[in-house]
Amino acid sequence: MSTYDAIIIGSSIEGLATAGLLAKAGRHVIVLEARDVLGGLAAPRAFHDGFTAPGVLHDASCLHEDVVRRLALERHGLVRHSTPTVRLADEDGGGIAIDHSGVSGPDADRFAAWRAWIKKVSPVVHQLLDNPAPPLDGSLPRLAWSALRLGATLRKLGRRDMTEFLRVPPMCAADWLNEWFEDERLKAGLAAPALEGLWGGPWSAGTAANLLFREVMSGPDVAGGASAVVDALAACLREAGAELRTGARVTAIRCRNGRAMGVSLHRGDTVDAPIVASALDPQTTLLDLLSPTDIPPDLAHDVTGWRCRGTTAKVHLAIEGPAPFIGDDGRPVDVARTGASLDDLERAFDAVKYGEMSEHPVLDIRVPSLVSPELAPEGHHVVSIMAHFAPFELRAGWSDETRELLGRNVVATLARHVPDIADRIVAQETLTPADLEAELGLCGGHVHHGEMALDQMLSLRPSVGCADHSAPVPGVFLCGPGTHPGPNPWMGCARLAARRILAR
Amino acid sequence: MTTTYDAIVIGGGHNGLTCAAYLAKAGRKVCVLERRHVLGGAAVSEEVFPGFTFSVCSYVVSLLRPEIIRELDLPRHGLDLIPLESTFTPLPDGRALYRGPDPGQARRAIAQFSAKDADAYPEFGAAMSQIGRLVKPVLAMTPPDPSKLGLGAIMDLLRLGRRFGDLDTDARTLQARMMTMSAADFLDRWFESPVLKAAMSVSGIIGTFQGVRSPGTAYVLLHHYMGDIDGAYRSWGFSRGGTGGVSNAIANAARSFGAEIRTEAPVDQILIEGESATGVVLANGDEVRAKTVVSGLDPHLTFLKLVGRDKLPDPFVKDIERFKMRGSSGKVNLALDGLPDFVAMPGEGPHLRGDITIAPSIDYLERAYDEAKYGAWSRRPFMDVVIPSLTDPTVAPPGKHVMSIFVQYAPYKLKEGPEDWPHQREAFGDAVIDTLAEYCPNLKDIILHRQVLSPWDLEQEFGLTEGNIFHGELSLEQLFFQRPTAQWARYKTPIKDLWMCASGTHPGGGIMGAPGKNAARAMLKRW
Repeated sequence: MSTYDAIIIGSSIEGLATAGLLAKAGRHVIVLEARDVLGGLAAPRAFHDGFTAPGVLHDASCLHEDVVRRLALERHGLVRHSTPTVRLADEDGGGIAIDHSGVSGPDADRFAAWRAWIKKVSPVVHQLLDNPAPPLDGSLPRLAWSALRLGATLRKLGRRDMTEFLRVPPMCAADWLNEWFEDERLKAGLAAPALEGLWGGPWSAGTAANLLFREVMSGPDVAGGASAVVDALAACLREAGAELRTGARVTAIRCRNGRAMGVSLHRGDTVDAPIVASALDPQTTLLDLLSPTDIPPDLAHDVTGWRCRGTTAKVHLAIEGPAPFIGDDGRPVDVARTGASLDDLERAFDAVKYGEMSEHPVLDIRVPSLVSPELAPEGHHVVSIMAHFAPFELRAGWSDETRELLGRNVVATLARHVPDIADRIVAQETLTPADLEAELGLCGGHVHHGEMALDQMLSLRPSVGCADHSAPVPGVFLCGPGTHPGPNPWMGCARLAARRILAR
Repeated sequence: MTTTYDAIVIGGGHNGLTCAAYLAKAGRKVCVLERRHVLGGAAVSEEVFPGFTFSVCSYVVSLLRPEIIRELDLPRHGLDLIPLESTFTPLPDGRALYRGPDPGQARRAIAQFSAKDADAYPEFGAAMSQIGRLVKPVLAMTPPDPSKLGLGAIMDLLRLGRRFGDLDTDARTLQARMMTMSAADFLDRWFESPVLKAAMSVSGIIGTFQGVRSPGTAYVLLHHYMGDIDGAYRSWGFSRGGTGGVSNAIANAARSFGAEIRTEAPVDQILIEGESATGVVLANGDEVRAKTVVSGLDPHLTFLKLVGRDKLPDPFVKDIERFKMRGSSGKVNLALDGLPDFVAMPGEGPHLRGDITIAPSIDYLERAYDEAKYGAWSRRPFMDVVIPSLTDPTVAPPGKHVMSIFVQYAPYKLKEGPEDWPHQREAFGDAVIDTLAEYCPNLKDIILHRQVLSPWDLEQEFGLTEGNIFHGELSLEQLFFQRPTAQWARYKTPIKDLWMCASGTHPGGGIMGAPGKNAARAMLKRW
């Protein structure tokens, strides 16, 4: 007799949300986390005395609203605030701003029309991402049924928008944005967040899909960032009677008679449950935690080819004095992006192809301490920076020297916009993709557990044989962002995985 | 007012001619109007230098549909295809990868670089052929209109679906993935040797403004495997007398069915009366009338120049304007006094008779693309070289040779603007020769004449907008039911009785003939 109905491996947001949804349905759940803190990439990082960064992932604006509601996360402390103003910074201190009302500058009208089109097609994106992926390994009638349902939603758009919807996703973001806008800053500013975790630049085909999906899924931001989502999920889980165990690294999923029966932990003890859901990346789950005899060789071969080459580096700065960016209204800005043009972004990516880090990375910058002052001592701020691009497989290899060089490149790029920044830095933490792998166990240091390229989406995430969140071993499930619908919206994978588990 | 035809075909390229031949075969009175003095469009042979005949633009016959060869009885009309069966990839370090027609030889050659790859190579071919069989019928389809599915289209899709349903999970995965992957990533899943991967990846980029690491290029690899399953006809080869031989055979077939073909008859304008096309106006002012007009030109030329924006609905004009052309390739044709002597495989031999590929590594190819992305021609380009005179002595005087070098990347839109190409053309040609000479040092000594064609020249001389050899980029959003636009991908146009029959329609470029045949079929259905 096992004590638990289900084991969740990994306490990332997807892991916790899966556990939450199962617990709400009355299942007795235990979450096993290898590290001493909950949250994985969303765990807070006290990187310097008195300074905390609220997670490696710093944009918490893509949450699956359905899960937020069902888990009553707002009752458990989640505070939403309006979509922040994004500053697209110029080197001379100027720049333009995107907020909920639109964008300043020459493209204001076109931007409104672009957003309106995205809103119009958003039901189709929701249909794609909120439902299980089409069963490519299923029988033809099942596949046809799934195609027909999508077709019906598509046809509601009307002829012109429908054909446009079919045209855009395979495009590259650069072509799509060039069709709409003139201002290079705006184009780069819109493209940059869509490229997070991709092994591609704005001229890579398929990046328009990332941009479109992200625009549709973005909602209000979370006060306190990713860590605040973790806190709310943990509170919800505790209330629902789930067990959260940290310092418990799973080394294997145990099977008996071809069925899951539990997991082994690194200290040699075991936990039993008939259901094991892994929020880890697909390669770790299918190739490391399961034994090679558990899964069919075809699937093993396909998953071996899974691409999770991390390209994102993270830098945390503790700074003295005011927040680095000021808006047109004279007030400090909590979100800013650098990169003057699409070609700047593309050049930053070019380096990765040859195993080099970009000398002039494109920065996605947040100042979380503006919203949550408790993250830094008074008169100080935390600056959280996602830097694009730095390859997991750096030709020169990752070492203290190359990490430091990366950190210097990031600060130098920031200093082109904020000249006095270097003098105000109290402390700095630089996380290379190799650090992310070593510290968080992310395969390839990939923040999304695998590139969100067209051939790794939908029924192909992570592979045709397990795109419905169930591994070929009965009782083993996948619930991390390496499954459909991928990294955005957060908790989208958990939602579908939990649904699949409960349908059993 | 003279004769009224059933159909006028604008442009005597191989697709225009194919369309004309099928229409004439069905008993229609057809007239083909070609601007130049020779037929063939980009599939043309010309004696550029006395005694030396070049396939000036396209250089190998890649995908000519076997059913077209059969139905038009092309061999009887002069088509003579000489198989092109080997690929020779010299490397800068003096090694080489030579894959000849004998599978055992190819295997041993690959094994020098990786034993594992030698095993995977035939498996790869088999897997690709399986998928090729699935995709092949799509080439002969009129694409469905997804926003307006009729019974016929639904049946077509169901048939396609059934074929997909017949595949096992493994093949379905492969098929689904390869549609959107990059050639480099796709080959990574099969092979480990960088040399083999580089040599094979180039099939994914020919004629596109994409790099081997650009998503979407894996699909193009597949085309190379479709030829292998055609049985009686080898799809890769030279045509005797150059690629113009293909065009001439099709033209002869068309004439035999009663089609009239006029050269030096440039069309200036498509006549539109009311809602319908009623004929064309030639440059000399003559009008030629017909019940239908078929354009064998690219969508930009057809609609934006010959029809005119004012006669078309605005959304359609917008769609055509954003249909990407983006020529990316150039051509260097050399008349040689002898044969090139490669360091990696000295002397004459079968390796010179096939395809010679300068593609030493994935990074090399990608760097060539990176330069082009920002508006400069590649200083160290990818080259696909053939010496047709070795297998077809008719194209050069005895003891002399012609060498055709297809070069990427040569972006139409230079940083300095496309009109700067005449100033950069020869420097580009020098870079090509210098690079190739690193592999065969005697090259410069044996060059008698050279012709350099930039994408700008291809536009000026052959009417290819932006020098795109495929009449439009072969990117995913410009294929199948979206070529050239989502609502008009069935060879019809918004103008009644005006049709399209060339590479800007499904299934796209290459000396394939499929658009021409598909268009004729669609038109005949209407009659």
